[in-house]
Amino acid sequence: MAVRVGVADDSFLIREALTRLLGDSDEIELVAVCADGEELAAAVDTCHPDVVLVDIRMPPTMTDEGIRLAAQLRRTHPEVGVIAMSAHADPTYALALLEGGSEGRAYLLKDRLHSRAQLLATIETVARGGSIIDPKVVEALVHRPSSQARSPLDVLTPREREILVEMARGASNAAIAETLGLTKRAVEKHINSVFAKLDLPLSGDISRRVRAVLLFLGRTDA
Amino acid sequence: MRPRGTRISSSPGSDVALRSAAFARPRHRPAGPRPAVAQTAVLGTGLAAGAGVAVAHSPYLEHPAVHGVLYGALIAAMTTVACVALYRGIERRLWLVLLTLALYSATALDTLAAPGLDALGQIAWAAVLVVAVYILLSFPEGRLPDQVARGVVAATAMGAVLVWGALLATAERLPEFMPSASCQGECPRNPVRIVGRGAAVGDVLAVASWSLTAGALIAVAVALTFRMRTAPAIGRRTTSPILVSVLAVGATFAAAAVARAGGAAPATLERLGWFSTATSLTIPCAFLAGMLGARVFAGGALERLVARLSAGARDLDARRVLADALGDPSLTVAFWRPQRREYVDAGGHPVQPPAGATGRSTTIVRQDGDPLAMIVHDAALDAEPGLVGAAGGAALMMLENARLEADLRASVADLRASRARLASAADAGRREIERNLHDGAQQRLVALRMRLADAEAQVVSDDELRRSLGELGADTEETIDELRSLAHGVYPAVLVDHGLASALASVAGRSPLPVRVETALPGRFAPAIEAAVYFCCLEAIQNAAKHAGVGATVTVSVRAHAGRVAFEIRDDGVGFDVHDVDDVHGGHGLTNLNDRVAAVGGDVHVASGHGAGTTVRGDVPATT
Repeated sequence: MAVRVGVADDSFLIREALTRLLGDSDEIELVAVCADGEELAAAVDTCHPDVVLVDIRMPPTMTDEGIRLAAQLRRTHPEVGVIAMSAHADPTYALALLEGGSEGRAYLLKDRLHSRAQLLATIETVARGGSIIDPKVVEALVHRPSSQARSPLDVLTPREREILVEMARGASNAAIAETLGLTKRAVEKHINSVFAKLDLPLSGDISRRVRAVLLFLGRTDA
Repeated sequence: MRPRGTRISSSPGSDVALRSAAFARPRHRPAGPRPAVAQTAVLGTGLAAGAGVAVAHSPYLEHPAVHGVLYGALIAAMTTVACVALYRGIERRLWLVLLTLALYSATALDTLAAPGLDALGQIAWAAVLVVAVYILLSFPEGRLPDQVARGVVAATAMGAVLVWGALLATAERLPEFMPSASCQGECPRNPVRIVGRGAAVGDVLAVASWSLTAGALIAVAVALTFRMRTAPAIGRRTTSPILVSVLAVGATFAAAAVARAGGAAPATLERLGWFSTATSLTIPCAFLAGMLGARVFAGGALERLVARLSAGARDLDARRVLADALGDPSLTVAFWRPQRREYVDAGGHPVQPPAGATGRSTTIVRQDGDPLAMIVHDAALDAEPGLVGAAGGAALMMLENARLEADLRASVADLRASRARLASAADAGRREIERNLHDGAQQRLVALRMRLADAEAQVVSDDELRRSLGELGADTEETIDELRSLAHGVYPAVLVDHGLASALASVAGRSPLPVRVETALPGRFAPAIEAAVYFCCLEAIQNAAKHAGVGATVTVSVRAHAGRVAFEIRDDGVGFDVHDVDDVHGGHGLTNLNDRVAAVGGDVHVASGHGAGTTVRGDVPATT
């Protein structure tokens, strides 16, 4: 069954390009194309999309309309997934997006939009309630300095660090195994070790895992 | 036409004081025009004579000739006061002077038997009461200084209209206003009568008119007492004699009202009448005494001032010296800035002359015709016209020094404001560029990349073409990355949206050296402040990355404390010699740090030594 998708972006060019990209696909049904958050919020009521792609910076204030729309939809239409698009790799924005919970939330850099395959994969994941964070953002988060003299990630082995990055991106255990060339069992063992070392609560739910890891990485204790 | 409520005087005598080395007695102000004084004298004398003669023919007085002389003497005394006031320039409204004299003289008609004239006399009494209250409360400034004074005048006017209106409308026969006069059933008929109310009405309203008079005068006394509490020294001298005489007259009328209401004999009333005439005579004398007191005070004030100036301390506070000498603690001085054509106080802040009737008066001190300073003082000092101007003239040198200092401070403030505006405009420009890059170029490139991907997917058979398109796509991605970096360098969106802590963490994440960031900030600050701190830290971190050497680490800390934001960027690298000019300018661009930070009113210092690392430390105010 086709995933119903709505789009909100104040740039005409982006809207055109996305329409063309998504319109051709059989798995996607483009039900709404809007120029700002208010339009999209109204369209959600009438067209009932499963997933929406929103630009973060939109009128009227051109700051964080997309993130606020995601929080609003969490309250009014919790079943709708939100993919936030941004030109900024700064992890602060991704963390803000996940503040209301990570189920059905994704953060993509606009650079990713050209790859139809990736975009479709993200849409499908989000439609299922999963969570994806753009690798560039995760990278920036991992390299972010902490205020302590030694980074808390120092306790991890390099392999465990790789697995942490993959988890932060929202990959499932199977996907991690495939990407890193390990068995699923090995992956699970590493994951348990990571969570134990970092003292994080283990959760079978992928999206909750993403959130836990990202919040941990994004902590700026002063 | 001078705007209502402002009274600005200049001191032409100031030039004279400048040119004579020693303190010279300032020339008399031209003051009131001679013709006005002459006119008043002539009219006053005539009115005094006329009124005196009229009263001397009154059938209702026991000793009409004596009363006539006293009446004439009173008007003559009022004329004398008026002439002195006009001559000295204390009172400039000739019309008011003439009106008062005419009205008071007209009251003499009340003592006559003819009904029409008698009625006119009564109306004149009503008018005299109101005018007298007004003059008593507005001396020496010439206008009512506060709400209380305005209230008393208004209440008196309303009361007069009511009481005398009722009298003229209803009384069958008009009573005499002067307590010494009594008509005992032979009072003149009331020609204006509208409604009949019985014979006793006249008596009741007579008592009412005396009570109103007493009440108004006592209210004036109370108002003057309150005014004296906050008046400068000279004010007390001008007001206290008037206060005493007003109280005396008011008490007399009160006694008369009580006596008449209690049915006292005409003889008692006649004695009270002598009292009222006698005390009325003291009022013009009190005015003269007040003006004389002001004169004496002025002499002493100028002596004190010259003694102070001659003692010649270097750092004189111009305002303090003048306020002490003139006995007016509320006195303020503002100085003229020719290039901006405005007045500024000692700290360099612009000052507006006071507008409206606020009990303040302004004197401009000039030097060679150009304004030098503006002295705003209590209007009571106008009782001695020319005093403030003379004081200013005597203190010209002190004022000129103070003016130069004030001008300097104002220029510094102007400069600072200008720098802040420039920096703010520059920042705004940068944000604009970043926004344009984001909204324009970046969006286009992203869309382009998507279309290239699209086109690549469409190509089925031509491998060569598909590969070319793929390469184009990759190039475009790189361009997008570079553009994103550029936009971030111009003005980072994360600084705008999330503030210093996030923005600095972002910088740290991109740095080739390990950078530790510690922030303790209670929230956001004004964009200009955040930008100044951010770019300063950025520059310092970039310098460390360039020059501190491999293996160095950098620590950045930003804290808010006591209304300031303090930041420190410390590295443990190779350091450099801050006193070596080459090092400082040849690539260690730390001098531009100062400009940015100084523009918002902050400070930055660099400390370094060979092998000892480098520390950049600074702070800015937390608010603009």
